[in-house]
Amino acid sequence: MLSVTEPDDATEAAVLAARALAGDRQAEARLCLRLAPAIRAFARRRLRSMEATREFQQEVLLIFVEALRQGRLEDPARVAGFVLGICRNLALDRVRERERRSKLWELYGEAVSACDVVQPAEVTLEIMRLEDCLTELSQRARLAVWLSYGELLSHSEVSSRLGISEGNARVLRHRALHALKQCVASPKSWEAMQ
Amino acid sequence: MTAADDSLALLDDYLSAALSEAHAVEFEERLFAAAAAGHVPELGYLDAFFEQAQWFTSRGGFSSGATAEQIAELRKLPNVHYIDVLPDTQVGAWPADTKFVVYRLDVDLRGYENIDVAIVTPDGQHRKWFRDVVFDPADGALYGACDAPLAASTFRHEPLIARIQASRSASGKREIVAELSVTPK
Repeated sequence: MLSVTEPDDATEAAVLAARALAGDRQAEARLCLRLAPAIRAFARRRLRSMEATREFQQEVLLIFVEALRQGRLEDPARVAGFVLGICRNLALDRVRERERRSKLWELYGEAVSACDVVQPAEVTLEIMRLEDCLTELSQRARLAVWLSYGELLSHSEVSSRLGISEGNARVLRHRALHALKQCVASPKSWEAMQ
Repeated sequence: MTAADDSLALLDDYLSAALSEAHAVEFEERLFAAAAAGHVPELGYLDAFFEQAQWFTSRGGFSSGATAEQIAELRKLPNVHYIDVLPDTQVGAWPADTKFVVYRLDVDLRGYENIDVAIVTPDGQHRKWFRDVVFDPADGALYGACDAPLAASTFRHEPLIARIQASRSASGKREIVAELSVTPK
């Protein structure tokens, strides 16, 4: 079961949704903020690139906000399911669109990919903490996590690249994620020197 | 294992498609309900982790250690400070606008594998591990690069010793290959 804690905002989703339907823009924004990570998780399971994930999230939230403002959310208590429904419908649309696009890629993909630009993000405290914590993992564990979250490979692809069973790759990744989560949560000695 | 631990594993299974489609459909209902109700710590953690992992893409991933060639390339960039770590090295302050510190640990690890570096104080207190580091195959030395604030914790905070442990490739015998001490000047 997912653990839910809400130290700074204990308002129920249904209450927020009802307020949003009544025109409260703050409640609308809070709902979007809460649901965005779940929408991104939904997208990441299905899409390979970070850009595609961001686009998917934006599209879902645009549809959601439009529905709120047009009063199309009939039951505020079911707001989570409503947004999940938007995700599922959009995913289906995307599958159809992908089929069309893959045909275009076959024809023109080489010309288009030459125009891609990669812009590295600024280094943040969280990144430095992660950089610090990664050194304490074994190479195998780092690779397991990297292949999943850096190269965005699927579970079966990761186990294949590591040359281990899917079960072992899964356990390796879970342990590494737990270790990193615990490590990055604690302040580092170098932070006091900054 | 705690409930929070289970949630993290479950979410990872979901994201990596280790969770079957049938289970994923049911999981999504709970995920969205929990997200709408408030904050889901594991979701927030992995959501941020995805973004952070992409930042490392531009720096070659999550590997630990570098080659002489990679370090030479980095040294050509502005705001990069280089430290040559010998058995007894005193390290002075680097320019305030330094972004990266790159370093070379003077050791020859050719013929060794499974290399770990323990950072300890002169009186034996453990500070940090660098696990499974890679060395330069040409000269056997250890090269690395990190952000300046991180480097400061190793080079400028207190006297420290880098204890390099490895297994001989031929025999598997584990040994301390070198101990290099660093003292802030």
